Amino acid sequence: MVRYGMVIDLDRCVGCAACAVACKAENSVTSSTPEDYKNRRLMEWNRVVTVFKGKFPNVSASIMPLICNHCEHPPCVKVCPVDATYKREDGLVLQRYERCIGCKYCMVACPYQQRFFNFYDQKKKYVERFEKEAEELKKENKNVPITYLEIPYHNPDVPSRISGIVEKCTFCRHRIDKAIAEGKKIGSPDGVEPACTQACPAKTRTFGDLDDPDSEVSRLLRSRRNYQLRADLGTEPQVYYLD
Amino acid sequence: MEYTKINGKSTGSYVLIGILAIMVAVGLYEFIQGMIQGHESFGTSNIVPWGLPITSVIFFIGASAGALMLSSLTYVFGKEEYKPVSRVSIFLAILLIIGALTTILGELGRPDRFMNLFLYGPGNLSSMFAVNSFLYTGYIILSIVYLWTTFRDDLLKITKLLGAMAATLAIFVHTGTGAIFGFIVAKELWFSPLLPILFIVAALTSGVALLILILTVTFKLIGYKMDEKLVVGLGKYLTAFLLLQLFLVFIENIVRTYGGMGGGEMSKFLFEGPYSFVFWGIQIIFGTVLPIIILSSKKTMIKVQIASLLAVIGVFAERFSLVIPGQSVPSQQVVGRTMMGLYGEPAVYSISGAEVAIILGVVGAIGIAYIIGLRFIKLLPSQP
Ligand code: SF4
Ligand code: SF4
Ligand code: SF4
Repeated sequence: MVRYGMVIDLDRCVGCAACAVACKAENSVTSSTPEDYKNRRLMEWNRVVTVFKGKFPNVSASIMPLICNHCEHPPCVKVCPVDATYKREDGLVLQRYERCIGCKYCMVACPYQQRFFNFYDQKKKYVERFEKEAEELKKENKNVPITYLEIPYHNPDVPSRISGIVEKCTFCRHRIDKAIAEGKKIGSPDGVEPACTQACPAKTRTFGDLDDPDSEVSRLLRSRRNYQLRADLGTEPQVYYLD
Repeated sequence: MEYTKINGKSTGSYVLIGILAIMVAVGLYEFIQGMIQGHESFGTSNIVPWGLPITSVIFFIGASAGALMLSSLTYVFGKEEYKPVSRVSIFLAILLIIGALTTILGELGRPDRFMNLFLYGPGNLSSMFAVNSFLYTGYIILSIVYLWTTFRDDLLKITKLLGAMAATLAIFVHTGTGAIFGFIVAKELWFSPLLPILFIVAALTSGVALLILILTVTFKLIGYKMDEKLVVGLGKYLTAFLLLQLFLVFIENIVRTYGGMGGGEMSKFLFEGPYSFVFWGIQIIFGTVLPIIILSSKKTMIKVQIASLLAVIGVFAERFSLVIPGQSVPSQQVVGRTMMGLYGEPAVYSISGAEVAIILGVVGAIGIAYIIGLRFIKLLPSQP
């Protein structure tokens, strides 16, 4: 059996957020506006946060990338009333966008705040924004870049999301599926890996099959002390942290 | 006992229907906007994805379950003195649950796909939403049949049986509603076995209180005389439910505080955060303690009415303090460590006009259906 997971080595992380940017580009996650930031509606399948303990000057802090943990016992799957969110054989927690009714139950059930609601239609919003900007440029008699007038880039491998549904990190399933179809090796360091893992300049992230004793992830978990986020909740995350 | 229809052809009643229709129209407009444009105008966020509509949904369901359980006083337990209001309380219970389901549509991101609940719901019965959509449907159907049998004097035994079944189902319906929250391990203010029980007691409180309010106002408007003994009798039940509710809220919060889960961050937010006035002021003092004090003196019609109004507001506030502060604080990712900056801060939910409009639209629709029901169905007792 295959069981994909990720190991994140916090000793290596430099907090550059390259993974966050890579994820946005790879999965065409909507770029949030300042209003979205104010309203706490950021779409961040991958975010880099700082956690700390203590008061200045006695503080210990660590930088932590957070993604969906692809839990072994995912509360989000348990609560989905239409079976839109499901756990695949290989351990990925995925979602059928066309089935989601937008009840947001999974959002309140996920203890990691890793699910994001589409408050508006991503594509429509982009087009509107670019049209407005192009309009302004025209008024100032400036050249309008051709990219403003075309439909904004969207990775053809990932489906676009309409307003009113929920989305989250997919462990870059399109890459995994493609690799399987093409018979390529999957997993760090020399196989196909998710975008965030590939983009990391410090080799913080390792992706691979947790059930395969020879994989890089298994080797790391054997050799280093590791923990999962909120293991006390019994969700059994498949993303492990080393520190 | 004889029942009649109301005439309902006065100008007053048409004006009332007109006002309610405007509420429905505004609500419908906002609902369609939300469907086309998405929920951008809502006050919700990724931290607080459930807002005021869910709060009203559980309030409506509670009131419905409470009203239905109350009708069993007459039809199951044979307390004849409540017969004048029992039939109409079944009717109200049906309207309220349908109203609740309509409000859920307003909260869904894709209401056009609600049929998926019935198509794919059976595929994941570990979801309380899926279970509930079947419970609610069964409850509506059973209540309608139950209401119909009360019109048939030859079916007394069946009425009794159906009444008992419907009241039992009402308990399960509201237990299920409580379980939507009580089963969620991620939220410290929700994850509790006591929650379904608290929901049922709150349901009884709001059911009785709302019934007292609606019926006394209806009787006044159409010029019937309300039996003071009946209202005072219902007031006694209200007192008992309020006391029980206060006790349960006390127990639940003492456990939370004593246990101090997650460093007590969430209970601290409930007790001292920006919504603490809803909890202390509206729910506890205004909505529970004050009506108990009013009801503990000699009960009169007007006193029971005021206490009912306060209790209804109190139960709504209780729902609010559960739903909103329960979600507001982002849970810790690493136990004992706080997230720096925006990520660690509680998200404050601000009530939006769109959500209020949708809820008022549903209230308007319930009101219109109620008036029309009184006109075409023999629901109210005839005057001597
Ligand atoms: S982290 Fe959240 S969204 Fe991801 S599988 Fe676990 S519960 Fe589901
Ligand atoms: S929002 Fe969508 S994915 Fe989440 S529980 Fe509801 S239907 Fe399932
Ligand atoms: S695995 Fe893919 S989808 Fe998930 S955070 Fe990384 S880049 Fe984003």
